[in-house]
Amino acid sequence: MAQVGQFALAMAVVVAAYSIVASLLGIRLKSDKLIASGRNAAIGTFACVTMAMVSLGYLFLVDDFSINYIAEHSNRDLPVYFKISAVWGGQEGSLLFWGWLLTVYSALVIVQNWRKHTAMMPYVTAVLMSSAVFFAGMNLFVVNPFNQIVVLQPGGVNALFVPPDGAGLNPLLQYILMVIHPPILYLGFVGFAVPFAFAIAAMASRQMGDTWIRTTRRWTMVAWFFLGVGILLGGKWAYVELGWGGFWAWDPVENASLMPWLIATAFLHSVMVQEKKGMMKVWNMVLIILTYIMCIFGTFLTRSGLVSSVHAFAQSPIGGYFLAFIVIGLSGSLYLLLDRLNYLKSDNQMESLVSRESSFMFNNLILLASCFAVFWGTIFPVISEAAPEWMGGGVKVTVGPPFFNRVNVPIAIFLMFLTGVGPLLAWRKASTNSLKRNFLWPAGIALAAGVVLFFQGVDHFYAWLAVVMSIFVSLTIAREFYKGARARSVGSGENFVEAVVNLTLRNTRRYGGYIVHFGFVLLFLGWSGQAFTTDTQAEAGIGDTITMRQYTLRMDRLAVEEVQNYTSTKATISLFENGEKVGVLYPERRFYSSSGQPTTEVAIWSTIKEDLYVVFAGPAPDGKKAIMQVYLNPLVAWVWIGGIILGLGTLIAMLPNKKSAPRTSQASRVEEKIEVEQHTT
Amino acid sequence: MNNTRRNLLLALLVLAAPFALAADRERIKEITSNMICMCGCNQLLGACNHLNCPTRGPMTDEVAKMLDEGKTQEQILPAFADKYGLRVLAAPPASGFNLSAWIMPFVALAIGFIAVGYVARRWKSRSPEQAAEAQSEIDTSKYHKRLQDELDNYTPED
Repeated sequence: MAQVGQFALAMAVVVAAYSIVASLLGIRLKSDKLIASGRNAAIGTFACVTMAMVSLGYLFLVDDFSINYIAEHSNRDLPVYFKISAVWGGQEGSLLFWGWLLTVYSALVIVQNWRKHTAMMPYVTAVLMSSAVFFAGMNLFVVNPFNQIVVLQPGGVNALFVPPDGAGLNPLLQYILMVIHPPILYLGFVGFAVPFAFAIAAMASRQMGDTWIRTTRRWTMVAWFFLGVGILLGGKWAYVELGWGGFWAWDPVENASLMPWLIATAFLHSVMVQEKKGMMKVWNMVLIILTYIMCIFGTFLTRSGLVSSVHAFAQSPIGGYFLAFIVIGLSGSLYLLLDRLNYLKSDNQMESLVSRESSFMFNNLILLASCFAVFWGTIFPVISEAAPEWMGGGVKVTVGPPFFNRVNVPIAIFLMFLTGVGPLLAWRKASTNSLKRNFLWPAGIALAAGVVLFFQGVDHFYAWLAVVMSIFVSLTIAREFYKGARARSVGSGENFVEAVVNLTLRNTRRYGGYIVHFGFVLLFLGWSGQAFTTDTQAEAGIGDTITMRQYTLRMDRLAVEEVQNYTSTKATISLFENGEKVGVLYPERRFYSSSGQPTTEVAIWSTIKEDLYVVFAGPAPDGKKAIMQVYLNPLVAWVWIGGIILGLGTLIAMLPNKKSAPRTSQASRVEEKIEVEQHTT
Repeated sequence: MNNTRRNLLLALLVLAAPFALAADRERIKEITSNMICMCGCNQLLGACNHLNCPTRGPMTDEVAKMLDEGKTQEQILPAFADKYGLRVLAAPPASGFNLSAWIMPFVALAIGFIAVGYVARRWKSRSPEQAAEAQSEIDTSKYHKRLQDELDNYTPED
């Protein structure tokens, strides 16, 4: 089966390369046959990489430890679902998985759009297959997952070697969220290849209207959705599996996924200006190029070993190849962009700085500034070390959470402000009256709530500002739904809930967007709770108690258990809140014999107010007690609730609009009137 | 009288002791959340959760000892940097070359503001004719196609 995988990989490289040549030659020679052949080859590439993926999966399932990658990432006792996730648990397999997803996206996009955009599609195919050649080539020549273990025998003869068992999957990856986190994150990263390919195709074919944007709108949202969900799942995994009490550590791997997400968020907003006003065309090209390049850069950053990361389980010397790919991709795209600048002029003039257009420009600026701050902080240790000594460089420094929080929190709060203000400004020019009408009450109530919060003891400035902003933005969003739904129910007789649902379904992009914003507010609120985290550490034997604010934890049992793949030391702890028993917690410490690594399984008592987070840190020196680390993390649940709402809002925004009611209906007329009032004042 | 005063002071100190301990814990937490654990985990000193970590305990004790000696955070962090190198600080000091780490994001933001202002002013000063001229260069094929489709499907009413 390993030979089948090798052959499929080699075929993938050849067929994808042929697809590029056939597509470009077909355009040049105006040969429909060559173009169609290029398309078929792209679909053939999908078949080849799928074959390679199936082969690798099969080799994991049958425990073929003659294959180096399988011997290093699996063992006989590993449960089947972890054997499947081990396919992408290391460098070689994760790159193959990335390449496979790329060919899946490519095949789907080609089938969906071939007849609709005949001029653009050969270019789209060529761009997508360029990435496919790179990834399949990396797998074939640099990090091949099908390589067998070869040992040098006496006499200088190489011989195959099959170890009796594998080293096992990294215990930190043996967690159910880790089975789905990488595929979802990769679906996000790889998904941006589609709008990127269309953007390049639009420039190459000189079709630079908004066709490419409208065609890829849903693809972009799908990628943005998966990347966002992937980031959140990663945070959830860190929270429940790493056992340090938090969900975001500004680690380079986390930053690598956040950067393209931030640029893509800017892109999703600025495309609306191009669709509505024909402006920001060059900027949209720049943003989507940067988004895809940052996806590749993130992979380069975390796999090359360039920066230190706590996620160091997938490093190898592939950095140079990725850097070359980034340089070629970026310079090629920018050259094309500069060459086509004349076709990308704005169609409209700007009437006022207080308008929806300008709010989108500021939103983009803030998102990019935030991305730059993350980028700069992530690579600064490298810059500092490389800088000459006379400049004060030559020293390796650490850039950790204190830096990122201090720089990004004020930027994020300003972004929150724009989230509240931007959507309510009219296109072209917002009048003073509409500003008063839209913002006076939400701002007044938010400030009043701020005063109350201050007197209740919330004196951490940024946390206070975050809460005030959250209230302001929530009120502006609620007001929008209320106004629209009231207009519908007055005209149609629908009850309020029906009116809200129908209103949302009739303009999914706008109201889905508001729901996304609300999710962001909740997420931000949950994040701000981190400013008030407290923790304590104590040794506890049977019957001992640990008290933290209103909670008391009583150690009832400590037991050692042999499980299929590890040895577990589990504590049973009764939890009391204000003296009343509310639950039982089972923090655990595991020891994986195959890899010789310990891990911790956190026990969390989660409420909407706070999380009580209990870590079994290890046995006390006397061997009779356990060291327990207890954290009280306020508002964390809102991060996950916000994430779910953000995801739901994105899904709603992807739905097609429900058909309008007949123009004669009163509801339609009233709603239209409200719409006109809001957006053309 | 003197004895009474001394006893009163002693009683106050005893009563205040738990609060002082809590305050110390908070200060230790604050300082260790600005330092990196030197065990190689790359985590904050206060967050390192490695079992039997060889450095977290001694480093935290060292911070506590310096606090007992009356040193402030501004004195403690440089002392650690002298001992372990700048890598022990969770964020680079805002001096020398490292100052650029702190100011560059805001310089970039300021440049962005200027650029946005410049573009917005240019767009504001454009005449409708200039905008229309640009519009004529855009791809209108889809409108032609739509027009053609609608004409094809058009059935004149009698």
